[in-house]
Amino acid sequence: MNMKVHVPNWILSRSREQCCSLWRVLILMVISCYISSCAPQTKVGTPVFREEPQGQVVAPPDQTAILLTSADTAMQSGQLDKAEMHLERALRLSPRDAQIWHGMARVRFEQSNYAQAVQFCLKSNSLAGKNEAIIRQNWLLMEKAYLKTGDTEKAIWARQKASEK
Amino acid sequence: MTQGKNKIGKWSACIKSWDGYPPFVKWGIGAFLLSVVAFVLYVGYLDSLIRKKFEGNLWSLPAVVYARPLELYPELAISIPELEDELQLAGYRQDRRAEDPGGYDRQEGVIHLVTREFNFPDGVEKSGKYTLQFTNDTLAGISRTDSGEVVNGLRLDPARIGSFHPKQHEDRIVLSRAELPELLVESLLAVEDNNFFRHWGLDPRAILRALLANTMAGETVQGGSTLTQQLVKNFFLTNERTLWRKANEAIMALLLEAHYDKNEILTAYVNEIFLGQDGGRAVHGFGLASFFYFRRDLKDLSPAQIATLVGMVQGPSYYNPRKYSERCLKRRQVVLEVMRTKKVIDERTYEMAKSAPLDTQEVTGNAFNRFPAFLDLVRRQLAEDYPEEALTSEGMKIFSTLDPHVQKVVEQQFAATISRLERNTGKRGLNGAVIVTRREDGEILAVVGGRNFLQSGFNRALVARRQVGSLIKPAIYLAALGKGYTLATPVDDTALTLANQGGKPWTPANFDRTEHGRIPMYLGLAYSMNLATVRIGMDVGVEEVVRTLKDLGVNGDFPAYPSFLLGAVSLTPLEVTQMYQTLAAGGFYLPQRVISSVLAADNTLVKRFGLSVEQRFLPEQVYLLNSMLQHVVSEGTAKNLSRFMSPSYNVAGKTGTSDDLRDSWFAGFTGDQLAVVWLGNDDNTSTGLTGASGALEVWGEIMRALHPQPLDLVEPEGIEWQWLKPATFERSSSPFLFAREQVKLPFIALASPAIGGSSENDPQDSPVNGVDGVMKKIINWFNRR
Repeated sequence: MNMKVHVPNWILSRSREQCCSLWRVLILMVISCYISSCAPQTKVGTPVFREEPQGQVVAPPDQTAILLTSADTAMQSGQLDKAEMHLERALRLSPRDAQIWHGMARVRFEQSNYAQAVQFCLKSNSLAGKNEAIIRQNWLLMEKAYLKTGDTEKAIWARQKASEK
Repeated sequence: MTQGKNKIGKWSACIKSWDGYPPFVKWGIGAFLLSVVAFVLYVGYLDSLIRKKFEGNLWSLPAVVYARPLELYPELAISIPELEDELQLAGYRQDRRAEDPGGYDRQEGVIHLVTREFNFPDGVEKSGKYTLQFTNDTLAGISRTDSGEVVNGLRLDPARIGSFHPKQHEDRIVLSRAELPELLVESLLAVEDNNFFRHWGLDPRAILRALLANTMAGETVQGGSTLTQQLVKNFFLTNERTLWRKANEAIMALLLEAHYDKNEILTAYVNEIFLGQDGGRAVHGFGLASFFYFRRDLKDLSPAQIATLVGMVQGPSYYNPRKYSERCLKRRQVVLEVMRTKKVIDERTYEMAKSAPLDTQEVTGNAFNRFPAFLDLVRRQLAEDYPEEALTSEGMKIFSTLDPHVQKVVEQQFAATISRLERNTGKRGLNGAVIVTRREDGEILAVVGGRNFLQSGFNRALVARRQVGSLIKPAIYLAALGKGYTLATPVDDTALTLANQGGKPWTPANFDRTEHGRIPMYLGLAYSMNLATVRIGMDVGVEEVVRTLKDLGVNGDFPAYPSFLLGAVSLTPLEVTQMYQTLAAGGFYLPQRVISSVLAADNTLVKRFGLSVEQRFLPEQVYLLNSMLQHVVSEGTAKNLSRFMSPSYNVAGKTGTSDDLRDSWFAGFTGDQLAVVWLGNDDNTSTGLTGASGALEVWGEIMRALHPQPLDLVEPEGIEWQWLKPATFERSSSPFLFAREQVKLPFIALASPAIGGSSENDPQDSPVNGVDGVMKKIINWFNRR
């Protein structure tokens, strides 16, 4: 087998850049510290043409929490449509919050839409990261949903996944 | 019997007695009797017309479409100008006092705001006065203006973005009698019909007075019509000044008064009267007129504003306050004097109103009918559930997902960039389309259907079906990941010839016409290498790739020819968006949403378009694919994006170019949004642009202006990172010491071979390992139902 790999120039140059980058960062840091300490405190008039991240705009915790509570209340009083709308509203504020997706799964479960309940649990898990508590809740709900559809095999599996958490 | 005979005898005697009269008298009486009968019949006919009209719905009410409501909360990244823009779109007005609903006052770092009460599908949001504090383009805090109480969040009433008109283009906001301010009613009656509550439909004194005045002046200066007559005229008759029309009007006015209560007639009048023209839409009724001219609810109008509207009844175009402000002011003065004389307002109010400015608000600032391409999409979706008749007549309220701020930004950047590109290439006639969605829930935030969409009505975002070129490639690489390929699998980017459609030989080539030899797979996607991609696709199987494309959410019949692998397939921008949505959402298919709920005219919930999700791919595989799409931007064909956005956004995206540069595509997503841009000529000629030199520029300008969130892919369980030397395909769990070139790549734990692995796998022969079976099993297991 021919082990000689033809690597295009652009790959080599890219890779060189990567290995040098640590040094560059260090040197840049030293230089920038020096420059910033002796530079006059005026803004240089270079136009900012490139968008820089403004820092992760995280979910509005208070508002999301309030909506989750409203959804809970609505669900307990049997107003499933309303609970769903509160959750959708919460999702627009924090679309990557696993807790809200889990809430959607619970609403679907109460609406007897067990297939969708499972799907929303999976979606919630996909965003849960290291939040083991919510992952466990999702597997437990999936177990219940599978039991409702008479799918014992999957229910046992889901229970097992829950117990791993 | 004798009695009967007597009767007949009497009649015949009566008829005989006619003989003595001359014939013209006989004919005259006959004609008179006939005309009485005809008259009675005619009145009966008019009566039925009136009853029919008033017993049904008085007006066809078009369905109204709303944008998404703006949610405000502390820490929200929004500047004062951006919020002001949103407020203008939602029909708010700048108002120094900010005391009535729909008004706001902008000061240094602060906005005072009075929201309007609104019926949302999930409940009523009450009107309230709020103070919003800003620091550094961020909403720092919200509090109630009166009590200072801190508020966690606030939902504004949404912008009305359009309505579905019946053929005659009338629009109105129908109000009930209880909703009519007394000042309006009294002023209207004082000016138009002083005796309204006393007459029976006609006012002989008013007619005489008008007659006198008109004779004296030698022309028509005053009308003697009652409100009832005016209403009848508007409902049933034309504007012609004939005696016949006047007679009809009088009869019908009497009939209307005989059947219906004064207050019913008054309310109908207030809702019916024509008060202006907004492009193709006729503004009817005081409710809509109040909003149209002053951006206020009718109940919040000042006496001067009420006087303006009442004055305009005489001639809405002639007294148009925006066009003929002096004429309108004069007319308002006449009305104010009548109001004072008849004690509708006191002296103080009169003096204040007299000196008040006209205070009309520009019509251009609001969102109504401004986003036709998005509205077109809403209409198409509604047409699946409702007949045309229901949309134009039942007054439904449609809650859409449009984000007016995003839409406005997208339109501006699209138009500006496309003009710039034309200047660069020296070619004219470039067109295109853009769709922006929210990454996780698939809601469509903005749609651009092309340049001059209003003139052509051709919504390219939904119907232009164009070759997608390399945009198809993620489907191939995803299918490959499903077959056990890894990002580091060695692939040959070398020439090959295949049998295509009809057995014709097909020799694909790279865009730069060079071969790159053996490369790790991820570089094939990053640099959009055609030869490597075709080899992978042929190994995986074209049919498998077609299946993957369908799982990504693109429906259609695609013949599985090899050229399919290089994008010889035509899709609409909307379909491409659906495809990339599934990737952006981590392998979950979410049907695209433009409508969330529909309310009936009485605010009851009639239909929900709920969210639904379906896992179509394993999160690990999609994670690997999205990492590759990030390499496209960080080092590959979309590297130019760094001119617009810092690399720390970690954007995932793909460029696409069709043969002869006919189509230029870019699809990509950030932490919160997905956008697809297509550029091309309507006549399918060459644009002179690649995906990177055309669509990518539009995408970059749009995203730069939208201040997106960086993309931070959630790492699923079972991912491990390894270092790779691309030159030798060596891998290690820790960085290689003294290695000149290496890159850190993610692997699925099951699929990654032993640490320090070798490059002996030859994907051209077989999938790398047996993981394919395991993954398929798990996927099938979820989908089995």
